[in-house]
Amino acid sequence: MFDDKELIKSYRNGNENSIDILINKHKNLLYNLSNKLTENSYDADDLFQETWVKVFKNIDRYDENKSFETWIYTICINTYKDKYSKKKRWLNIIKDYFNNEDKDGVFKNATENKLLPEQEVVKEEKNSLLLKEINKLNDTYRIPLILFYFKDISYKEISNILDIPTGTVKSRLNYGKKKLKSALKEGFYG
Amino acid sequence: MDDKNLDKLISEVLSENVEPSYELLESTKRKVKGIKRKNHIIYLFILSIIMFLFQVFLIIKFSLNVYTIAFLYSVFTYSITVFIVSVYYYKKSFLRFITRKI
Repeated sequence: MFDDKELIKSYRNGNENSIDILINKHKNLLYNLSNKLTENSYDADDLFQETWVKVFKNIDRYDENKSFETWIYTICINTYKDKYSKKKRWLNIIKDYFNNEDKDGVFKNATENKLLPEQEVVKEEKNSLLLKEINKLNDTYRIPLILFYFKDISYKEISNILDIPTGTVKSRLNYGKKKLKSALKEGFYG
Repeated sequence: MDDKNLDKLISEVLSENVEPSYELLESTKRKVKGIKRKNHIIYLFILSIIMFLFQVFLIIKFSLNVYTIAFLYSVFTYSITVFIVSVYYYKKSFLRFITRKI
């Protein structure tokens, strides 16, 4: 497997093949993060693409003493904050409006679909409820939560990515989990 | 629900693997590769503006006639094109040449 730093060096020397290798190497992790942040595939595609463009535009600023993966995550989150957070506020209002209708639809489909075992339907419903609750959280608590659980990133790395102290990461994670717990008590998990 | 159970549930939901489509990957690679080309076009554009201003300066300063202007123009264009193309394609040897001279 190629080393990130070697690939970046080779890109700086004019080798365009290193772009393909770097993108292929980190594609899944970055796309998963984009997907979890944006909640829909269209925005995830845009965020994924914009992040890579920004990464290569600013590649000269990359500090080789730090991990390349962490640097990509930082750019991805900053791009998301710049572009999608404002949009999300409006989207959430619209989503909340249609939420009740949606819920009815899910239950209807679950009872109509006789091929799925009952447990499977309940599990899927629980997961979708949990995801909804996570997405309802404020970005201050949601982003550390996503980073911590989607790839088991350490507190230290999260603090580097978000540029906040490790203690703040821990407290935000605890607060996010606490909020989730209380929200879930009211729903399925109560 | 205890914390362990909640941890398990959250990681189950958030660690779900989604792969980017082939089209998205290809268009991303194309876009990224276009960054350098775009920069080269901008550099050439700036260089051509500078050269144009330099020619105007020469014409005004030395009040040149049409034939001299045409001759200078062709010499300028030809030499600059050759220079840019050779630097672009033989970047490494060019850099080696410059650093050796220094």
